[in-house]
This record gives sequence, C-alpha cells and structure tokens, in this order.
Amino acid sequence: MLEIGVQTKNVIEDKDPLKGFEKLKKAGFTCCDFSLNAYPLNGKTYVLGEKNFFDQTVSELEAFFKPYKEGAERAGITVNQMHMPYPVYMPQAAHEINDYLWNQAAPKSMEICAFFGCRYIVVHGFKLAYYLGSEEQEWEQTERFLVSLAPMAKEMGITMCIENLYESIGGHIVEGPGCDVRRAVERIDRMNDRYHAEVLGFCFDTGHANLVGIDFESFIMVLGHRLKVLHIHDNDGRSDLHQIPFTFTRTRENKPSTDWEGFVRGLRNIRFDKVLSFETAPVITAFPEALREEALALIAKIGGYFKDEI
Amino acid sequence: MKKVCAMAGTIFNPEKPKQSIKELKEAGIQGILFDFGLIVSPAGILADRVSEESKWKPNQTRKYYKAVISQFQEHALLPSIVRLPFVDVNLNLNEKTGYSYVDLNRLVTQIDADCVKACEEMDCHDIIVQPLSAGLKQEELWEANKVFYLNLAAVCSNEDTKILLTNQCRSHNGHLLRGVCSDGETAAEWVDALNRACGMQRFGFCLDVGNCNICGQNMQRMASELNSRIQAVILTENDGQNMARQLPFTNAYGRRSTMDWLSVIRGLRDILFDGYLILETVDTTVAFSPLLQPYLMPVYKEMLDYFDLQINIEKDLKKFDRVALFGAGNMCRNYMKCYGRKYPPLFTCDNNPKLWDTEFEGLMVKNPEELKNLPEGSGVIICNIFYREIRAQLEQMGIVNIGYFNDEYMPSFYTDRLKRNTDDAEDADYNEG
Repeated sequence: MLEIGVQTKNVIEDKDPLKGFEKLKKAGFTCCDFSLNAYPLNGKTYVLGEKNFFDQTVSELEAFFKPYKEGAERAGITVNQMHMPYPVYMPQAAHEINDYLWNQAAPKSMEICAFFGCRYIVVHGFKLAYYLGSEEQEWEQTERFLVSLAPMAKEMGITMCIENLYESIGGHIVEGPGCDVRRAVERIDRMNDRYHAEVLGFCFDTGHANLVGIDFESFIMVLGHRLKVLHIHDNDGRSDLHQIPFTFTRTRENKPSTDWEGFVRGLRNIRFDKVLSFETAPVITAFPEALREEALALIAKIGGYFKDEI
Repeated sequence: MKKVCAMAGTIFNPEKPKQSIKELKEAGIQGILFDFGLIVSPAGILADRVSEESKWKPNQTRKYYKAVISQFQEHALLPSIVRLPFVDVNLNLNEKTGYSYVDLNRLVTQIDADCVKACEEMDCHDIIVQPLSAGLKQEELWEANKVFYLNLAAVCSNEDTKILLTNQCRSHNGHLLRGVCSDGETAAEWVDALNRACGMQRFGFCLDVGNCNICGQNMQRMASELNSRIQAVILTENDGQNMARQLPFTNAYGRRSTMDWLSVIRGLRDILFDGYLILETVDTTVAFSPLLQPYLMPVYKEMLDYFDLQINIEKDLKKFDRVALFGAGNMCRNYMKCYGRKYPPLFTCDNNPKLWDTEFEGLMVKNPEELKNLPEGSGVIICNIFYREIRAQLEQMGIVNIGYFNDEYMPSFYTDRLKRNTDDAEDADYNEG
C-alpha cells in the first residue's frame, strides 16, 4: 500500500530527534527518507588530517544514531530509505579521500542503513564520462563500486538504488548518470541475477528528470518493478530547487510546467505500491519558521493527492 | 563532409536572394539548406483560412516556391539539402482556433508531399521532414507517422531521394521536454521499420543538436544509437530553455559555452560521421545589424571548417604514413595519451632549444630543422596553439605535409590521480582513448 514520506534534513535535529519525527507524524507522514548525507555535509565529506564522521567505528556510529532510531520508532515513522553521502568518488581528489569514501563512508553507511532496519539506500553513480570518454566506461567504475558493496547488501537485505543524476555545463543542466532508463534496467537486472537477490534498484528523482526534459511516464513504465524509491520535488526546469510540486508554471495559463499527470500515470501503470517520498528539504528553510509545519503538512497533503490519483 | 548554412540563418529574402548568395559565395560557403518553412506554413494557411484572409492558399504556395527556386537557379546556388515546413511545438489549438489537429496534420501531409515533388524537380535529394506530433497521444505517434512517412515515400520518384526524420521537443505547458524521435533507440527503430516497409534505404535521420540541448540530452549516446542513420546534423546553440538558433559558442556563461559540444563531437567522431553539417544561426544573425551581418559569413565558413576539423580529428593523422609532432607541451602530452598508441610519432620538435635532445612523453624532442629529414610520405602535426605561426614556419622550411591536432575535445581527459588509484591492468587503459 502506498505510504507518504519526506526527507529528514532540516526537520530532525541532533539535540532532540524525537521532536522532529513527531513533527513529521503530525504533518501527515508515516515514512521518512533519512538524510544520512547530511551528517558529513556535502562537499565536506573529508578533511585531511582531521577526525571525520565515518572514522568512527560501527558501534560508535550506531550509538550516535540510536536516539534517531528510537525517536522514529516512538513517533511511528518508518525509515523507508536513506541517502548515502555523496559524492562517493572524486576523480581529482587525493587518494586518501577516495579511499575514505569508498572503504569507510560507503560500507559504514550500509551498516547504518541496516541498523535502522531500512530496506533502501540511494547511491549516486560516479560522474566520470568527461574524463573517461563515455557513459559506458563511467558505469564500469560505478559498477565496481556497487559490486564492492553488493555482498553486504545481500546479507543485510538492502537494495542499493541508483538515481537519475545531472551534470552542469557552464550552469546549464544536462543529463548525467542514470538517465538512460533502458541501460539502467539492463544493469539492474544483470547485477541482481548475479547475486540472486535484489541488491540493486532505482530511485526516480522527479526534479532531476524535469531538468533534462525526461518523459516521466515512459521512464517509469520502462523501470517497472525496479523502481523502489522516489525523490519527489519540483523546479523551474533550470535549477535543482527541490521545491513543492505544482509550484512552477511557464505560461499565462498558469498550468504546472512539470508533468505531474505523466508521473501519476506512470506510477499507476506499474502499480507502484511503495512510498511517495518527497525530497524537499530546501522548502523547510525557504519558509519562515512560523509556517514550516504548515509547509510540511502541505507536502504530506500533496502526497495524499498523488496517492488518491494513483 | 558536406558543409552548408541554413537559409534562414543567413537572412535570405527568399524572393530576392541575390545579395545573400553573393555574400555566401564570397565567404566560401558553397551549400545551403533550403527551408520551405520560410515560404509556406500549414498552421498559417489554416489560420488565414479561418480569418478569411487570402494570403496563404495551398495552390498559391507552390507557385511561390517555384519562383523562389528559379531565383536560386539563376544565381547558380542550388540547395544541397531541404527542410520541409515545421509545425511549432508550442502550437496549442483550442475551440477558438477554428481548426483541428486532424485538419492540421492532413494539410501537413498534403503540403509535404507537394514539397517532396518540388525537391525532386530541383534535383535535391536530401529532405528533412518533421515527424507528426500535434494533437497525437504517445501511443498514436508511431502508427500516425508510419502512414505519414510512407505516404511521402510513395511520392518519391527518384531512388536517391532520402527522407530524414528529426528529433523534436514537446511543450508541456510551455516547458520543452523530450518529444517525438528524441529517444535515439526508438528513432533508430522507426527509421529501420520505415526502410523495411519501403524495401530500400529511403529514410535516414537528421540530428538537431539544438533540440537535444534543450532537453539536456547526452548527444554522444544519441549519436551512437542512431549511428549511420544520421545523415545530417544541425549545428546550433541555445540556452537550454528556449528554441533559439544561435551561432555555436555564443551562449556563453562563466567564459564557456553552456552547450555540451564535447558530447556532440565525441558522438559524431564515434560514428565516423560524414554527412551534412548544417549551421543554423538565424537568431544570432538577425540580432546583428544588417550593416554587420555580411561580416558574419566568413565566421560561419570558419565555424563549419572548425567542426569538420574536430569531428575528423584523426583525418590528418591517417593521411600520412608516419607523423612527427611540432610542440612539446600539454597538447603533445594529450596527443600521446589519446592517440600516441594508434598513431605513434617518430619524434616531436620544439622551437625552444632548451628542450632539444630531451625526452617528453616518451618522445625525443628535436630541433625543428630535423623535420627536413623526415621519410617520404610523412607529415608534421602541429601540436601547439600557435597554429598559423608554426604553419608559416614549416612552409618556409619547404614542408608541405602539414596537419593539425587540437585537444579541446578529447576522447578522454587525463587525470593523474585517476590513474594512480587504479590497480589492475584493465584500469591502466582508461586514458588511452
């Protein structure tokens, strides 16, 4: 049955995780996308010579996240999915950084995912086509990374989900890893066959797809059962804004410029029955403090609308 | 490579093209894409019919474009390739419009068939035809287009005539998304199915990189999926949002073009593209004062030559039995990383005497005078941004076999760290092109 979730970033605070989870429940959510990527902040994943977040042992990390796990349980929020910190590989970074990302941050993220009892972890593919010369060679590197984690995923019952991403050319957004749905399907099937388990699935990101003009309906239809998790959010087709669906228009008729009808049709056609999860953390900071709970409630209501339509 | 400029991009007055033809010829541009869209518009005809004005009537347009073509014949510049009238993807018919999508598609079919006959009459055999999409649902597209294109094929009387499908955007409430034929694999299936139905290679594809750019598409992959079906490429630039037709490299921000030319060039190289390169720049041209527009023509000529050079970057390397390089800097280094194994140079040379008799990227760096002793059939490849100066220097030395290398769009880009991180033999080949 369809449930409604949202990412925890900007809602759940370290000092009182329970309070944040209760806010989510009150707003109308039953699930969350735990923003593991928010702990080692994006772009600050590693500082040479310093103690970094994933230098902690698995036991230490579990102790750190215990209040979050308990808070979610007490508030009645299921941690449906989480986001592995990204990037997981930086082609121009020092060896030590990539070693940390690959051999510390990634496997420990899997451990934390299992600790939360979470089924899905979203993993960003490597962005290497520029350097290596083609998307196929880029995927070979991503696959090496995923293969290094696949045995853990199988043992823990976790599905790693690759996501449709983008690249920027002088500020213009173009498609990145995961935007060729046929190849994604072939790769997911091949890896799952190899491990005789659903170690790999797909996370469809509506905002990223909208930026590169992808047809939501046909993309989702080709994905079919491989679609495990969603990142639902909206933008103006120019920047990755992570805003509330139905926010943007382009014409005087003021109809939505994002194809939400196609999104609903696609999910309906594949009988999607998992979590309608919103990735809308920037909404929380954009609204004034006094309106944030209402903004969250609106997001949950939109989830309810999608659910009814699907 | 057949290099042509789009008619609309070079400001033709279709009825009086003499001046434009003269300027094009003076700039060294020998080919044009003739655009029937400047002469006839199906939506315009229907709109006029509804408003009871008489400017556009199908029976008059044929007379009109025949007159235009005779002007081109008179000035000895026959179109190399033709584009039939397009329907605006933003066209949104409603009850007030007074005509339906069915009316529109019927008229498009009629006009396109008429234009195909006109193309054959002027001995032009490559025709770009927009797929039907107005008012059609996703699931209706293939069947409607199959009938449409096969109807056009039936009109063709010359076996050399090629009908080129082309990739389109679609408008979702003003936001341009991927439209009909924008998926390379599906488009390739369409072309193949149409050719099978015809029993001959009647159909091909024209890749419009402007439309790809609006949808942020990976054009390298698109090219590889369509492969030899691509017989024409429209080179144009836009801001990724609006369907503008600008000169390549002019939509710049942060000191670089915002268009993914790397993926275009890699893709066209991968498929050994050798068809029509069509430069379409109407928005750039018109933005200039008419007083300045003639000065754009030589730039257009150089632009087409530049893309030819980039796409055929290996052409000069293949031309000679052996090569020596001129330049011992980054460009030489990139040559060795990407092409050194496939086209191993005898040595490199440099004007800096301090570098003579040293080794660089596995090559001996020699005095340029040594180039005079190259074996017969050898060529000198300039690996330095001072192309013109070095060419002049070589010509002064009596060397005639001269080629260019350029490392702006490499098959791969070298990263020391990437190489250092890898630990098996397979990985060691990453930057070898």
